[in-house]
Amino acid sequence: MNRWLWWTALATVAVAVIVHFITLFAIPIVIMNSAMTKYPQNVLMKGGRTTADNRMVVRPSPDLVYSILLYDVSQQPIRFKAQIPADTYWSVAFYAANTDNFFVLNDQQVQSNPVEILLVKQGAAIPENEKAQVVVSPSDRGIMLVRHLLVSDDQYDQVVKIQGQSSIEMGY
Amino acid sequence: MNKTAKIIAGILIALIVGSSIGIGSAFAAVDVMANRFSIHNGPWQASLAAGSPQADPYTRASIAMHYLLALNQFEVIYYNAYKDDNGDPLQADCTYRIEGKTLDTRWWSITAYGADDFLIPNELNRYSYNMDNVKYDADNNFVIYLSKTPKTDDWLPLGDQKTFSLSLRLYNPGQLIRDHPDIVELPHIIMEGCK
Repeated sequence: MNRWLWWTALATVAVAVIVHFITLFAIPIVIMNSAMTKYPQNVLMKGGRTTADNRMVVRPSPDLVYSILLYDVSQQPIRFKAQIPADTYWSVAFYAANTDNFFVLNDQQVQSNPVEILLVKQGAAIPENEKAQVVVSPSDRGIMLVRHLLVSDDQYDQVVKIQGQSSIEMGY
Repeated sequence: MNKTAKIIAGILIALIVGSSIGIGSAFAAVDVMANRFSIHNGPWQASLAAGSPQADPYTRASIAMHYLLALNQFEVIYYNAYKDDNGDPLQADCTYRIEGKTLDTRWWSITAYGADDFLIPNELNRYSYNMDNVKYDADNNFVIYLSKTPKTDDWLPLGDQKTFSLSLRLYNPGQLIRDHPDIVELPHIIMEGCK
């Protein structure tokens, strides 16, 4: 009996340790997968003012106007074009399926205005004459989040106008 | 019980009890370990590994649970506060004032969140103050009040919450803040009184 108890206790501890780390690594993936099913894929969703009604992602910033793209580049790349506002914070950030923020570009770092980004999967061929900035996603699926800073309510219409000029196209 | 039945019973116990302990301990450890790996500055804490591929598994899980889609530290440093300057948990039935000076960063904002990590519903749709809309005195200091009852000065409503937390976002922080995020002077959170 003592031997049975000993082996059962040992197996319980082993299972607990394994499940502990599986859970730990699964949490970000499950949460990201949940977020990635809330909107249609490969559609650039342009949000308005961030209020208490915005409940897709925790701790949203009320000072930002967001655009979000739940992307899947497994079949073809995605081309993103956006107008950059003058003298106010703007950024586009890409998140892999495990939550890593693997690429971010802000208004002070862009090389051109409008900015053009080609998002591709790992190993994808890049055309030799490609002029857009190429971003390689470590996972086929992920999230692109565009942040427009709204310094004051007076700027809202202007921010929405600039946000409206952003777009995506599928393929090269 | 014969030997086979004992082995099966042992395996079942190990799987059921072990899995329960494993899942429970993972969730319990996430915030404890992530807090340990965070930097602390007065009542504020920040995980500089937010959004980074180098983040440890506990930080990564905590970020996913509480700060999904956070930017990396070069873009934004997210300081969060769940306690006041005295180390007491933030309670929505109390009145607080945030006192600070302008910060060495391209842009900053302070936002209040409910216990569910979402913005606190209120009639004014007021959730934050930032470096452009907060009022400064002659010495460049600002004060923001937090309470359930309205204030005439800069005021963030706490709605019908029981507890709340704060986020201080520093966009494109200056070199001093990036080098010394744990000692640069950040706004104070002072409890004035409770109902």
